[in-house]
Amino acid sequence: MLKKIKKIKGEALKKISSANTLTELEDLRVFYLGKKSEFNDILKGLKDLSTEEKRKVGPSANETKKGIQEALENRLMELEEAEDAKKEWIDITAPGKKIKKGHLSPLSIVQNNIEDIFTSMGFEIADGPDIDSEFYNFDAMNMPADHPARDMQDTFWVKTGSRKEEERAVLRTHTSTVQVRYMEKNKPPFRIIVPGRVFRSEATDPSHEHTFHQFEALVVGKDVSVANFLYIAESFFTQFFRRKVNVRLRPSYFPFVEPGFEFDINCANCGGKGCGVCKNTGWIEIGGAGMVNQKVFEAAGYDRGKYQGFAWGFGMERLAMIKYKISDIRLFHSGDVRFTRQFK
Amino acid sequence: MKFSYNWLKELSGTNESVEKIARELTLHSFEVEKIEDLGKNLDKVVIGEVLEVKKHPDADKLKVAKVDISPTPSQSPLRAGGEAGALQIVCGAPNLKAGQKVPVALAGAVLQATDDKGQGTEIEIKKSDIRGVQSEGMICAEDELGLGEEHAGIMVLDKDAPVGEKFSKYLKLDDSVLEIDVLPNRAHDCLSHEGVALELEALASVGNVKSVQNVKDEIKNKTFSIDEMMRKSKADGTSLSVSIDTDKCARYIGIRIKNIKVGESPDRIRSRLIACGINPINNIVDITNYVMLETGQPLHAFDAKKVSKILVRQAEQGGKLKLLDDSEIELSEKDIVITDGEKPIALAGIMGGAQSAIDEKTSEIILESASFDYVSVRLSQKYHNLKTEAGHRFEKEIDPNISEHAAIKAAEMIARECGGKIDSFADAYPDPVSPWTINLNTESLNKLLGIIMDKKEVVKILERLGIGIEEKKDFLIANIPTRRIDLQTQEDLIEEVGRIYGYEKISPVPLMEKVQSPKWNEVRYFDRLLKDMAVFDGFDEVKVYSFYSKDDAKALGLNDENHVALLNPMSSDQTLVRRTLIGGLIRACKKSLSYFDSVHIFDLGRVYAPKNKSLPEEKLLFSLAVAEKGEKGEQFYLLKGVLEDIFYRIGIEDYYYDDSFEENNEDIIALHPSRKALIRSSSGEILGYIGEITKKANKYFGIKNARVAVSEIDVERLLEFVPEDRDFEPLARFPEVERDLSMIVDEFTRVADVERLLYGAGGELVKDIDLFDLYVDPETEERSMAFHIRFSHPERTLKAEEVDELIEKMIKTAEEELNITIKK
Repeated sequence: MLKKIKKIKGEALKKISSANTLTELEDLRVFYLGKKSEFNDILKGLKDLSTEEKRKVGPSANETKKGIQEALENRLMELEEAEDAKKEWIDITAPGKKIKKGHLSPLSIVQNNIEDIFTSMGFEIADGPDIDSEFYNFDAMNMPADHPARDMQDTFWVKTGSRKEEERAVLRTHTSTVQVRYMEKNKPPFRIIVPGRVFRSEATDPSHEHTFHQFEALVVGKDVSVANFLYIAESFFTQFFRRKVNVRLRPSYFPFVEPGFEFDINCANCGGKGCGVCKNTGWIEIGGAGMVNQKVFEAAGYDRGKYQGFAWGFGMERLAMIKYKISDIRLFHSGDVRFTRQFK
Repeated sequence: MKFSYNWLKELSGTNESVEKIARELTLHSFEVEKIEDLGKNLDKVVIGEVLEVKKHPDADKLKVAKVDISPTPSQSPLRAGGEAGALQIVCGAPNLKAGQKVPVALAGAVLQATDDKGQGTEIEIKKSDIRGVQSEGMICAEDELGLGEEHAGIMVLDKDAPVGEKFSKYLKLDDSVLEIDVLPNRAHDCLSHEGVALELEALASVGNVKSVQNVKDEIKNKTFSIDEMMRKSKADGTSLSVSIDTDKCARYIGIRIKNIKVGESPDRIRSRLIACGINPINNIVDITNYVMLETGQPLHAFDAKKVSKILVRQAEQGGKLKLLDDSEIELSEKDIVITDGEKPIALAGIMGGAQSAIDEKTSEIILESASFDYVSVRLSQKYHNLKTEAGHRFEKEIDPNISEHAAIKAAEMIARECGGKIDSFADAYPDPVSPWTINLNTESLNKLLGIIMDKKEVVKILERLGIGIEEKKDFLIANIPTRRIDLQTQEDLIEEVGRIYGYEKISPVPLMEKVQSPKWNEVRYFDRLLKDMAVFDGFDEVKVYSFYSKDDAKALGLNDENHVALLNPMSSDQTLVRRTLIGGLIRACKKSLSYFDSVHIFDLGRVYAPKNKSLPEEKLLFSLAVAEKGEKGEQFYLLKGVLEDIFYRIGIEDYYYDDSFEENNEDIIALHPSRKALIRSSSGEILGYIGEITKKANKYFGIKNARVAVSEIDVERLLEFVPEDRDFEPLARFPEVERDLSMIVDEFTRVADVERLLYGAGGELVKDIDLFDLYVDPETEERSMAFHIRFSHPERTLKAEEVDELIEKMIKTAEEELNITIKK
């Protein structure tokens, strides 16, 4: 009896696995597990066996039934799946469902990038008003009343309520306004950056805008030196451009720093050999920097000679233009979404 | 300023190449923006003699000239090349005459030209046929040789110009021009060849420019003095009266020179002026310009026959003065004028008067070398809208001691070159400026630069800069020469040492100051978060200008008076400082709708409200706009959905939309009368607004076939309502029951009103009421709403009958309060 069961099982599993259509499979089910099947007869006959024989044959017969049933089900699934694959074919090269995509202005991308790098170096992000007093924009920055930078052609002036000439304010011409504002409320040592909008009353062209953005960096302490400035500057630009950046300082003049520098980085495009991007000098001019003039510290109420520090004010549009090779600064404020949509 | 390489070489004694000098100056002193080889295009230009001039047979305005370019045989570099002999040249210049010596461009020469649009370009000279006559070259005008603007006729050279010689050699144009961007704080000493020569000498101290010898003693020590000069020239009893009656003139030196002959300057002077971009005029004017370029001191010469004495004073308000350029100005009392004791004869430091000007007949001059107040000169230039070389230098402040040096130099040159005799002098110098001292601590120097330099090297660098040093135990005393007006503090000296030493030699060093965890800028963080969320919701960021016009303000329904106004706007469309970003966003929509059917944009920026007698109040606004073509009118809901999404994500739940308000004309723009709402916090504070723009705004901004919905949110106000971290709520243990309710409602019944009634009637067990359909039947125009309503009980499973009862109650209330019909 056991032999017979074993034989049926072997035969059935073999035939099921080679069944190729659903009808074939159904026929096999009827043949092996149907009411008139040989196996059903065996199951029916079990009750006539002795207890001992029952114990021997019973489990085996049940197991065989289960086995065949499982094989049938598995094969059925396989055959159905093959059938579905044809019926449910999709063209996976067709595009995915359109999700409306938004984009940040390259200016915001660059600003986020700058803030992240400086935050990681322990810098606080500070703020100040866009429209500020002459004091914070000029006097405190060692540009006294007769300084040429106050001429109308460089600075936007606004009335502050009254009609009197003295009661006027400036649209800040640099983010350096925040230097003395911050120093009045905080004591060194500190390190801050100030990203923000600045204004110059000048004619616009591909490299000049009357509205643009700067980020000021200001580090003040007892021993902050030019060498420290070089270190922070190289660290920042190396991270920002994701390559090793070398910095070059040249003498320059800004009333609020002494010494003052013009700040260049080595040209990535030509590796320093000279090309169109760097006007054949191997260096790209980034902006102005320097060691904070003691007169600025004095304007903030610090004692002369007590602290030293460095400051810079670099243009964010300029950095974005270098990073993304943007040729016209006016695109930033063009309001043309075709511009924004290029930046991911 | 343009500097002559030859001149700098002569003054400094350097033999270095012009490129090397340019590089060193750029790294240590001033940026050299350009190097130009002066004679570079003049290789094939030679001096010719016009032998004869005939009319062109076939053109009225043209002439045919025979021009001899053959030099004496042994000197001819050209004869060997076969170009010798008389050339036939067709020329149209009206001033062409036989016997003239002229510059002749041979075939192959490349010259400057001006194209039809007035743009500079280059042309190559070729042998050619001009209306049937062979032309073998070109007779040149000044501008074609890059020597000036003159194009009215050909350039006529001196009679003794050697025929056949290279033109560039003849004019000493074998020079290079360095265009140097002298820094503003050095304009008082380095807008001069002497100043830059001294820089070159200082650079030699650290081996940057190796072969510089000592700069001529003449510059450094000023061996002559007015006194000595007076003694030497034995002024024979004549005198000149010079006086100053204003505190705006530190010094005035007048020198009367007689017996001069006005004429053309020698080539040496002319060529240097040309190299520096100044057109030669006559020997007197040329020498004053020459000495200015060499020393930095502007000079002026009056015709002494027309001026008997000099008085410097403030101008009288309303006084008239006719200037050299024949313009007449009305003086202000802030101007300084030179007078002959009575009437003004020059606007001090800016321009001389016409009446006392030098002309060919002048035989006697008064040479002026003076020092005027830089602020006054700057303001006068601005007031009269005049920009002159002299004014440009005086407005940067000039050392009065240079006046003396320059006066002597010029007087001597005039005596030498113009046959003059120095007659008398006067020097009004009420408050002589003496050198001053600055104490320098080497330790402070090293601390600021972040280097280690020993005292010896510091001393060496400063001494080469012409600064005398006295060594004390702990510090150095630096004696500053008066020409270095910029050196006032210890830091100024540190900069001198640092730049001459070379910033490129400083190695980066990490900051040693202790690191503190930076203070968190919450507004900036939130600003970024809002932008990111807008981007995730499919919005593009654009940047909007901070200015707009009065008309823009009016079109947006804002009061144009209630704005911060620019005192000096650049154009009439940017006169006000913005109180909203919407105008800019609508413009951006308009622009972008030409490329896309649907534009979703935002900007986040500040707006400015005027405040009496203080700085304007600045607010940060998050401004969004949705513009879509077509009249479907879904823009409002799309924008509202995005706001709700963003509010949800920052955790703001309790707020509502209020449509019963009037725009305030101040900071909320006019909106579509029935598609607008204020967004208020649960406590009623205004967080922002949302709405479609008005028909008027649509028309004004030129939006066609599209609707625009906009919203502005006050970022810092919103931030106040962002909750702190919330506490965890246990998950619901008992199942919720959900029922749907559909109803037909009246035309103006609002979803919020229905929901409020349903919540009220349903009581505590109602967890949520959610509109899922709002529909207007196109045929019957019946308006219907459908809600999902969810019920739950915190402590047990709700029975179906309980819920049925609540629903009945809700329906009944709604039917009583509002005219609704439940759809079964």
